[in-house]
Amino acid sequence: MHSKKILASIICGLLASSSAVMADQIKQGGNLVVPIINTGFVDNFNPYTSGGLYDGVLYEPLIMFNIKTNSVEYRLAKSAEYSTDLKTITVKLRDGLKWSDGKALTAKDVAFSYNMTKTAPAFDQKAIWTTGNLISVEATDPTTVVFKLNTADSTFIWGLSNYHIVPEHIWSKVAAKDLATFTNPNPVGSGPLTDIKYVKPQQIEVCRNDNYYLENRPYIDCITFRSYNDNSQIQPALMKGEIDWGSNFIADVENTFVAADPKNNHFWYPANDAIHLYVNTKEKPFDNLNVRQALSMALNRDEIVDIAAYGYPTANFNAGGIAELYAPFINKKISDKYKWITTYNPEKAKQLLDEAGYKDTDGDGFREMDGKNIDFDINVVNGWTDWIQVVQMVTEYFEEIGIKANVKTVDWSVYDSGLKDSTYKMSINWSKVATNPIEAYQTYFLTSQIGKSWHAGHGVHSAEIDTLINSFGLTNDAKKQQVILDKLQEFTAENLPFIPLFSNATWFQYSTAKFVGWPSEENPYVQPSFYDGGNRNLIINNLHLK
Amino acid sequence: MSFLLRRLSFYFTAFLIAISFNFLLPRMMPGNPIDALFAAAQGKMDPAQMDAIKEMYGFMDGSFFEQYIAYIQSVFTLDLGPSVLMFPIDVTTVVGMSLPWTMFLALGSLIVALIIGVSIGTYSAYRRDGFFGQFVPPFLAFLSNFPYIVTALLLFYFFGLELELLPLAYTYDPSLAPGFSLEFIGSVAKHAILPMGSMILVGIATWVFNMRNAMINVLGEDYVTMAEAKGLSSYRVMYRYAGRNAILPVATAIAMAIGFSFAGSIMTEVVFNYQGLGNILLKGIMARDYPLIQAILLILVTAVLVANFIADLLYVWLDPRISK
Amino acid sequence: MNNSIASAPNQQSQFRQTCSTVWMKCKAFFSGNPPAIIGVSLIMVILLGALFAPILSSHNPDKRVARPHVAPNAEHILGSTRNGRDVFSQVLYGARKTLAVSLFAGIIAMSIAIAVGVTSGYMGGKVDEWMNFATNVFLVFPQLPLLIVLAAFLGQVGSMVIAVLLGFTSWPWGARVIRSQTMAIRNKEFIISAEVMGESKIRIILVEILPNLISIVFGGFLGTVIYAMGAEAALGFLGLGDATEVSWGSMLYWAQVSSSLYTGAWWEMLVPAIALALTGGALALINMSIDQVSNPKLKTGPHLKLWKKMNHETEKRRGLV
Repeated sequence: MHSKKILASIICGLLASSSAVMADQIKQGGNLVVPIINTGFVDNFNPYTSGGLYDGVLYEPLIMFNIKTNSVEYRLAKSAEYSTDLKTITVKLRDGLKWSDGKALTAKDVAFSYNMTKTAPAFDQKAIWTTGNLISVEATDPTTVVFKLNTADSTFIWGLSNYHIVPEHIWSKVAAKDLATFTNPNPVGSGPLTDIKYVKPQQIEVCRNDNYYLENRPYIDCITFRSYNDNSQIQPALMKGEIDWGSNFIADVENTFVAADPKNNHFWYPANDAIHLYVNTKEKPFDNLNVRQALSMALNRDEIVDIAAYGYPTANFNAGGIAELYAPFINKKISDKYKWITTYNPEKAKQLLDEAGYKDTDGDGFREMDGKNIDFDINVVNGWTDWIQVVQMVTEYFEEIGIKANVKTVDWSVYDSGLKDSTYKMSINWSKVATNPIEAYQTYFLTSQIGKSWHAGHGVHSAEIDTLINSFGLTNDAKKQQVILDKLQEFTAENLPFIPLFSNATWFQYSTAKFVGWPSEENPYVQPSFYDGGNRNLIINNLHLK
Repeated sequence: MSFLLRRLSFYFTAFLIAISFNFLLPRMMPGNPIDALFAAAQGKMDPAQMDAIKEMYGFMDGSFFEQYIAYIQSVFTLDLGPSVLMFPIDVTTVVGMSLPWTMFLALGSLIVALIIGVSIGTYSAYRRDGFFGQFVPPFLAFLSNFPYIVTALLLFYFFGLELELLPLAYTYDPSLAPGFSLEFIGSVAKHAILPMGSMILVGIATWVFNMRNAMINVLGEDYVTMAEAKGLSSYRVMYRYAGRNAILPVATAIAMAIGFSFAGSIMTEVVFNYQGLGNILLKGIMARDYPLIQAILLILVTAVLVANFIADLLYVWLDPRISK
Repeated sequence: MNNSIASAPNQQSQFRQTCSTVWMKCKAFFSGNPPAIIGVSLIMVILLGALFAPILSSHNPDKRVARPHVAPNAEHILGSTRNGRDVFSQVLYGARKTLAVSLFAGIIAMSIAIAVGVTSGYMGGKVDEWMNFATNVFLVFPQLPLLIVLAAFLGQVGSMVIAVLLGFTSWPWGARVIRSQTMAIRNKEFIISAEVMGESKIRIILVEILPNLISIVFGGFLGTVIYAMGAEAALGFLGLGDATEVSWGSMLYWAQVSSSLYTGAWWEMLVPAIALALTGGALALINMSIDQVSNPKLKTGPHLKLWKKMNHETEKRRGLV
């Protein structure tokens, strides 16, 4: 997205990414085993209600935005262009596309797929119809689909990848009211693996689609999903080599999984969403910026990451609101300028608190103001143990500078409404994972997000910032967009509406005993998150027998 | 017959009360399935979609009373609606998938524990002054009263993890196709050893003591002394005379035990990742999957009621005086 | 039992007499009864550990005092948890919580059981019919699943809430046993004579009936405590308890969450598990011994042999054999 227009790339992104492997060396075949955490499999192939199980497998994405390489991967589409007024998107499909049943896949199918989500609002994953500004989706010729928008929005296109392209000749027969409960038996798709061999409660096997549009792809023959109860069950399975691709938290991965077969067992945990302590700045003592900065400085982030999470997440020292997931967009200068806020410095923190007037006058080891103790809860969801451990450590660090905070485990519904209605004092939460950091800032600051987003309850808002964020969509110029992002980073660091902690790890363990072609630190061609259809699709297309 | 009719009407009333409670339970508590769905997605779902999703799952419901009537109807027609957890699959299908495994585990372990327990109980009553009667019952009492979860964890750790003798998960090897092949049955048996073993260990003492105490009481009776005096073999005395009479109070305890066994199965399944009802119940609870939770509680209540009724029938058969 | 009419003039001698009776009973309970000795001494050790946790423990159980998963050593004699807590200190403090929950649940359950059982058994008639019905309905409800559902819906609940839940769901079995025992007693002569003498019903229940139920009540109490302890551990393990409290159940939970068995840190899981196992086993031994005391027929061992021998000799003397 560096150019004004999103240009068609002639070579598919995939070939470029796997260029290291010569085509003639590649062996066809193999059965990829992947763990799924659920209660067992059932015959449901509806892409919107099957928990994303078949995204990128049965259903090929139209287009995929690769955050890792900051590039666009064209899949079913060969190009997608904005008009100069940013109100029309024209998507061109590849020629000769076919469904797995041999019928032609045309622009009509694509237009149908998007229009279907208008009649089934539960499928409207990005709310393009209900709240978005989409007017119409039409097929103008067999390979062209046109999206018309009300107002200019260069960010709209990112939402398109959240929708599944389904065959009109099957789905049009389903009545609108039955769409949600439609189980799509004998599914027809366009993805790399579409042939359902069997569905057993504990296991599903899906094999290659002979009509797949890419020559010789996929290299693998089949994928097997195996049902597991929880992470603790996946751990021994990984250690025994029963699984090729894990996406789960594995305790002490080096000494358990890797040690079991150091030659083949690997893991790569690149940064994912940034985790912050959201602070309610409308309440004392958090209304005082010095206090927020002091609390941030009281934390030893490296130690927290190390102890509470085995060192797998990436400590976040960027006060600007975004972290390593959006590395290309982070402004180094701003990050350095405010580094002192995120650097562990309890002495400075104490000094700031003293200056703010919070002192320990009654000698109980905790600071007060006007005889009233500072004593607040940090909300965490029941059973989210990694966060409970993190917050437990946070309270220990706060205690060191004389601030009394308690871990409060609550039910999700309480936690959720607390964040949305801003009834919390302090709450740990994630931040938005999206194609571009602007979407994270939208959830942080837009006044229209207050009461809706989990991240806008901190109370730092302004009309100016609203305008700034909204101006992002009015341009397609990456440079201008970066200027906006820089301003937002500075604004966030200055006001500190939340205390950055660390970036979650993307859990990714893989075994090269059978397959190679995995993304890795050396070849980071995609974010290795299994639970994203686009990422998964690229990885599946890249894997092949050793 | 009036005895059985009385019992039946009791069971029916109990059933009605139970299912009504079952209806109220989730509605009294905070949280709902959609919240849980969003919680599980951990930020991957757009809060703007909440209402649309609520509608999809059918949670735009009528008045409390209407809901209750609809619920009672659904219970008696066995049409319990789609599960939230496995949407859009019907709860009945989901339960049908795992119920056989739980029954296998619960009833299988109960029967084995019963057989072993009754034998040990009988023998230890007969040899109550010997080493066996002195040593074995206290030892079993000690072993059997480890909390369920602990027995399961210890077995899991020593036999599954450390010695790697037995599988740690599943009802059978997932690569096998279910069927009446020797391989499949062997796999099922192998996977059942640990979970069943832990349930048998926990259950066995009840039977040992039930049987032993009943037996000791019976052994003091005149007809046993008489039999002994007639010079009958001790085996004959033990089983033909004393055993048969002592088993009567044990039979009634079985009905109760079925309920306990099902409950125990829930814990065991979680530890051993056995794909039964307990496993699903726990997942359902986490997802606030009301229809599923209700269906499972319904099955458990029904199981206990049916077991009680069978015990009644058994009692009538063993002691005809009762039916009057 | 307690209704001894003998009124000794000397208070002190009465006291001494009571003492010696208690002593005799204790002696009778323990002598030649190794299970009782083992059970009681185990429980004593555990109770003392819980009671003197602040003195015995080497660290604060709620604080990070070590690196994650330190193997047992001189400083942390039972190692440390993944969160850097000292396992030894946690197991001592955990005993307090776990035992408090189980005992409290046992007290609640037995109180209800006595109230329902005795009233039902003694009053008879309509009262009995209704109470018995209620008991039976409660009895068919699957306890543990119900408990799991309740605990889950209430959100991760504190230990006292669990105790109350356990107490209120586990009384029916006791009530049923107490009821039938009461029914057996109520037709005994001493009750009838008390009724004839015009004693009030309350007094009859409290003074005449209850003392005769003591062993059955105590046995039921121990049974409930064992059950409650297991249920507390189970709920904790499933993550339905308050994970920030230190109990044996929550220790199991954290051990499971940190995959301690897979990472080789067996101590985090096995220590609370064995503590639970020993306590449950010990309580069961005591329960069994009480059973034998209250029902002398069940008494085995040297005692019985002695009795048999004596009996045989008497009968011989009488010329019966």
